[in-house]
Amino acid sequence: MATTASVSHSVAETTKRQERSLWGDAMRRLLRNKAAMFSIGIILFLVLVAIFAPVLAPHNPVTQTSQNSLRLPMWITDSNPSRTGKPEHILGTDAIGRDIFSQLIYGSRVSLVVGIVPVIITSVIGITIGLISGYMGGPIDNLLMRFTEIVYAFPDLLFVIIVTTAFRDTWFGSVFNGLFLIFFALSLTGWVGLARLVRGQVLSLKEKEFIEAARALGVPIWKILFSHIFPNTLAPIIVSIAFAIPGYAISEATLTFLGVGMRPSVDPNNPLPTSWGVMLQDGYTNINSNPWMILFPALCVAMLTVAFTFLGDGLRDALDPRDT
Amino acid sequence: MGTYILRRILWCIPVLVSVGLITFIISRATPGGPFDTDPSRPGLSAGAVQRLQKQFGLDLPLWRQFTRYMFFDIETNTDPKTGVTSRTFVCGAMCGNFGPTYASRGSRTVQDAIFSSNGSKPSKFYYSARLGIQAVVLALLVAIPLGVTAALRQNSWIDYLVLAFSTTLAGVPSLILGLLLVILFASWLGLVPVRPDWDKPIQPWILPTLALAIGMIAFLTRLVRNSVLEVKRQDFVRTANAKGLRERIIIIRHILRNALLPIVTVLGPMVASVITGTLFIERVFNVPGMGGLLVESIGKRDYSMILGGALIYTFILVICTLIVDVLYGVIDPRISLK
Repeated sequence: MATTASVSHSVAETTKRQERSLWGDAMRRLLRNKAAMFSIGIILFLVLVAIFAPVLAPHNPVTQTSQNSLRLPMWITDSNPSRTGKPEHILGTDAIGRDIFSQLIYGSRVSLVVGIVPVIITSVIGITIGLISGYMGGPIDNLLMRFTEIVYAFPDLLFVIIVTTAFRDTWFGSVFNGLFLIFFALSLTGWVGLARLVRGQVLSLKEKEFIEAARALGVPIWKILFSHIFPNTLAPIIVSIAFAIPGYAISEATLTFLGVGMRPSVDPNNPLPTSWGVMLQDGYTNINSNPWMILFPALCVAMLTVAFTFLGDGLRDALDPRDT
Repeated sequence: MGTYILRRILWCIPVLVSVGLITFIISRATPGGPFDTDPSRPGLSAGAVQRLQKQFGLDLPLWRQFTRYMFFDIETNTDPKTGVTSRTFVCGAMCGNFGPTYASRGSRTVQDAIFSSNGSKPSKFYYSARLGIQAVVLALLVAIPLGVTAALRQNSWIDYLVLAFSTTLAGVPSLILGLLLVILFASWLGLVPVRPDWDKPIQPWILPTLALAIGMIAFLTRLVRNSVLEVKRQDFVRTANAKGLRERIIIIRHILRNALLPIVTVLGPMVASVITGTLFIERVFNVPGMGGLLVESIGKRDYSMILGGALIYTFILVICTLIVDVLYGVIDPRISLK
C-alpha cells in the first residue's frame, strides 16, 4: 500500500490510477522501449517547433524577397552566384524567394493539427457509435455493420479526393485555407474503423460477469457503457489512434500534393501559412531546378510518420504483451 | 462454400449501388457543371450547352439521371419530321456502360477512355493494373524469403538488419518513398529522367513499382517473420524434426504452409492500399494510367468520369477482397466459410 500511495501523489487522478495497475505496467514497458521513447522525443520536438514557430523561424515563411529565388542550401556552391547558398537561408529558398527552413518550421503546425483534429472528431464519433452498436445489437448494429462494409469497399483516399474537390469552391472549402474541408472529409470515413474496433471489444466484454453484475445492480445503461465497458476498450483504441495520426497527416500531404488539399496563404500574419504538403507540391514543380526543395519536406513527413509508427508499435507491445 | 460465394457476390451489388449513389450525390451537390459558360472557357454558346445537357440527360430529374446512369433508361424520341415516337433501351453501368465522358463532349465513353488502347499505346487501365500487379508480386517475392530467413535465424545479424529495415520503412508513406526515389535516382544520380518516357519498355516501370512495393515489403516481411516464429514453436514442427525429416522439407511443407496463411488475410487490404496508392504514385512518375485520368477529371467536373472511375475502382477492390476471402477458405480447410 505504501508504494501505491507514494505513486498516487505524483499523478493527478488519484483514485482512477490506483485501480489500474495494468496502465502502470504498460507505462513501464513503454519506458523501457528505446525506439518508442526516441519517437516520443521526436514528437515532442515537433510539437515544440510548431508552438514556437514564430520564435524559431529566421524569416517570415510568406514574405517574398526578389533576386533570391531557388537558392540552394547554404553548404552548396553553384556556378551561378545568384543560386549559391547563403547563410541567411540555411536550406535555400523557393521559386519566389521564400525561406525553405522557415516554411518547414511553420509547416509542422499544419501536419500536427491535421493529424490531431480529425483524430479527435473520429474518436468521439467512432467510440460512441461502436459502444452503442456493440451493446445494443439488433437493427442499429446491423445497419452500422452494413454501412461499414460499404465504406470499407470504397477506396478511402478516392472518397476523400472526391469530397475535397467537390466542395473546394464552396464557402466552407476555403475556411482555414481549405484545412476545414480536409478535416471534414477525413472524418467522414475515418470513424468507421474505430467504431468497428470498439464494437468488437464491446461484444466480448458485455458477456463478462462484471457487466452482468452492474446490470443486476440496476446501473443505468449509459453508465455501464462509459464507466465499465469503455475503460476496458481503451488499450486498442490508444494503439489505433497512434497509427491514425500519421495516417491523417500523410493524407493531408497527399491531397495537397494532388492539388486538392490545403491552399497556401499569402497573409504574412496567418498562423498556419503553409504545410509540408504544399511544400511537396511546390518542390515537385521545381524538381529539375532545385531538388532540395522537395527533399526537406519529404524527410520531415517521413520523420513524423516513422516516429508515430514506432510509438504505435511501442504502445501495442506495451498494452498487449501477448502479441509480440 | 457455393452459397457463401454466391452470397458474397450478391452483396457486391448493394455495395456498388451505394458507392455510385454517394459519388453521384457528391458530384451533383457541387457548384458548377461541366458545360458552364464562364468567361474562362469560351466556345460554348447557351444553345450548345442546352443541347449537350439534353444529350447527357442533365435535364432529367435527378433520380432518373441516377437510375439511367446506374441501371438503365428508356429513351423516348420523337422524330421532328414524321412525328413517330420511338423508344430505345439504354443500359447503364450494370452493363459496363458508363456513358460518354463530358470532357470529350460525348465523343468518347468512359469505358473507352479507361480500357481502350489509345492508338499504339496501351490503355490507361493497362498501366495502372500492371503497376499494381508488379508491385504486389515484387513485394511477395522479396518479403517471403526475407521474413522466413530472418525468422529461421532469429537474433542473428540478418534478423536484426531485416527488422531494422522493415520497421523503419513500414512507417514511410509510399508518396514520400516515391519522391525520395525520384530525387535520388533521377535528380542526383541522373540514372533515369525525372519525367520518365513511358514508351520505353522497362526503364520507366522500375521506380514506381519500387515506390509502391517497398512499403508492402516492409510490412509483409515483419508479418512473415512473426508468423514463422510462431509456427516454428508448434508441436508438429518438433515432431517433424524428431522424425528426422530434412530441414528443407520441414520448412517448406510444415512451416511455410502454415505460416503463410496470415499473408492471405492481409492481401485484401494490401490490394486496396495499392489501388489507392497508384492514384498518387501515378502523379509522381507521370504514369499515363487511370489514377491520373481520374484526378484530372475530378478537377474538370467530368461527372460521368468521376462516377465511372469510382465505380471501377470499387469494383476491382470488391472483386479482389472476394477472391482473397474465398482463397483463404480454400487454402485453410480449418476455416469454415458461412
